[in-house]
Amino acid sequence: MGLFKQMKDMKDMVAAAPGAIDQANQLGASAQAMAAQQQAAAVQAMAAQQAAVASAATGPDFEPINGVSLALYAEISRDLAAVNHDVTQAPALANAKGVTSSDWDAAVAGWNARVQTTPAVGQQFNALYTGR
Amino acid sequence: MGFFKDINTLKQQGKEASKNRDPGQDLRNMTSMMADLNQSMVQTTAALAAPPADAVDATAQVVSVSSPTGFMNAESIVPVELLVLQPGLPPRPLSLAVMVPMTQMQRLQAGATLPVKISRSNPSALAIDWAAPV
Repeated sequence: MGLFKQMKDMKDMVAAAPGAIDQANQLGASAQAMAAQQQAAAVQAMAAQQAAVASAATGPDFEPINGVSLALYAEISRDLAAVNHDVTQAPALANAKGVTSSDWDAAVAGWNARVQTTPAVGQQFNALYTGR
Repeated sequence: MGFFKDINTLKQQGKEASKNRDPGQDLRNMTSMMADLNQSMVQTTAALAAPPADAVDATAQVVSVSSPTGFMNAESIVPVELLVLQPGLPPRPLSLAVMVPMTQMQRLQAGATLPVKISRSNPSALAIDWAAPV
């Protein structure tokens, strides 16, 4: 009696299994689609934000400071990285590019302040420094 | 009759499931995620373990943020490009994958400034101090 009942239960279980698997597959697919949608929206939002910051790469904040343009500032900064950011060598590296020590000090203070207040300056500096 | 049909359906579903899986690709993705995580932990540990004379509290400006490459302990692993800002020194670009607590995700935006801990002797060491006040 118990054996036949168990066989019937097994038959019912096997009959229900394909439907349950289909349902699980559908749930998985919709979860994946939702995750992809959310990720695409996040990427789009980030790209829009980055483009907005980069598009503002003109104006008085991009004017040279004591004759040191942002491109020259990035170039000397890259040279400084080659000497492991040894700040004592910065004036000599600047002099090698035709920038006096006092102009260099003014450029460091001025450009750093602009980078902090205007993210577009930071983005442009990063692009010039890394060449990307 | 119905029983054998159901068994056959289950067999087909099993075949379909294995056809759509690529264990090799899954393992490659996992290896790449582990590499990002490892790099993040090495850079963070180096910054946090720097001796007091070598450790510096600085700030970093977020230049760009990419999509998370994975999750670990409810934290996202996010590749970012930062500009490290220290008084008296020019900004220094740094690309790395950072682990971001779920509750801090909104702070990781292009143009945002974050408090960081860095090491004077190791330019690639950096830990974002999520607990520091904004």
